[in-house]
Amino acid sequence: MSIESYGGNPDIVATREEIQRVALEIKLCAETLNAWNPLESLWSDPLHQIQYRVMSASLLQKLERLYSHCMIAAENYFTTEAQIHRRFEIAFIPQLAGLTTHIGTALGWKLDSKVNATLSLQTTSSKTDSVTQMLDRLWRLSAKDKPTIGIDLFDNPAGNRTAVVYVPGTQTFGFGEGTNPLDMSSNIQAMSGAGKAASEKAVLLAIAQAGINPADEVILVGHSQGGMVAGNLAAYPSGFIAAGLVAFGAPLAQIKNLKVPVMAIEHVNDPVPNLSGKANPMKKNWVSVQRISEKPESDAFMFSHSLKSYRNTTTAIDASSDVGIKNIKGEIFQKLEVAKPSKSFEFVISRESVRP
Amino acid sequence: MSAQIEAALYRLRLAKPTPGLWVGATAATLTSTLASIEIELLALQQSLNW
Repeated sequence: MSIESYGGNPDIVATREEIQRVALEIKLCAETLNAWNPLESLWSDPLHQIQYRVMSASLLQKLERLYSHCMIAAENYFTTEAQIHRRFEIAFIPQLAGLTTHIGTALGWKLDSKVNATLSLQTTSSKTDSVTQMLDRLWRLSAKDKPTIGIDLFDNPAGNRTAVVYVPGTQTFGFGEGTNPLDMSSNIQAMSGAGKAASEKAVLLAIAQAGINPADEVILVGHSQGGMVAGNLAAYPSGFIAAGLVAFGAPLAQIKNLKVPVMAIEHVNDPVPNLSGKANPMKKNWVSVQRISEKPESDAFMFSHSLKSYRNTTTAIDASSDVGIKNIKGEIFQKLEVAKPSKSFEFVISRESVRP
Repeated sequence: MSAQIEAALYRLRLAKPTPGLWVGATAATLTSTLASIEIELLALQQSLNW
């Protein structure tokens, strides 16, 4: 199982274009230095020419080495460069989503409906120390009949708590007419900005009902729409401290304020992460892990988007020694290593039906 | 040849990583290496009495 990643490595923070530009200038410098003057120059000033050739030889070697190192750095760090730049780039997707909600509202969509979060299960949380465990928990929640949010609490030695909040993906293709807030209207609203989608409001309600307070830290985990909602909440936390984000197959690049450690897990052939219209940024706090999902991995309609298929990716992530992956994974799981399992909640989320 | 070295120096100065586009340990090492090459190039220019 071959995964590729970029970001999360503090040693090199650069754009590939910048590294290539630097390498090109170094190469041009070496070529300029090495260029042969016209023959007349050699005849008119042979001594200087020979002196110049001898003395510039070591400089040329250094420049050649520097050029190679730049290219190696670029290749080592940007093994997924193709994925970054092969993607189309559309900067106005959030604005487009905002416009769509305006049009939808004018057409009669009621998008500011009231949401609810009802406790459906309370147990004890289990030790969580791998991305695969997170995916498994999310998968079980996603498979439930009703839209269900999971919240696992852990007690920190410092006295506060760390919570892991799990948000499933889109479950219905309705545009606000049903009671399930994990629908298409929430997709559009979550894309247009934080604090708008019904599903996001419902998750926030569940977080408050779980007793999470402003001193508690929250790691958000989500798939598809759930990842986008988790991203919005991680960027603009309300009533808690955002401590990390793990997203599977979710468009995140449009979210501007993500300062927590982010692990964006995407399949190259999954169209959903591409809905952000651009590639994920390359930052120290953000690792993007990518892989091509093979069809036999899942029978789902969008096999490359299914959690079953993403599970194969998380297995590879947990075994990975990639610096960026290890850094971000370490930052996300750091708190959970020393925290003690506490309560675990499941909340069924809903919204008032706006159409009979 | 003087013009050749001048042109090489010009390229070398352009090769410095742009702050904000390439930061971190690698960029710092590269910048200092380029600076040392620039000093060597200037020394070469002087030693050839140009």
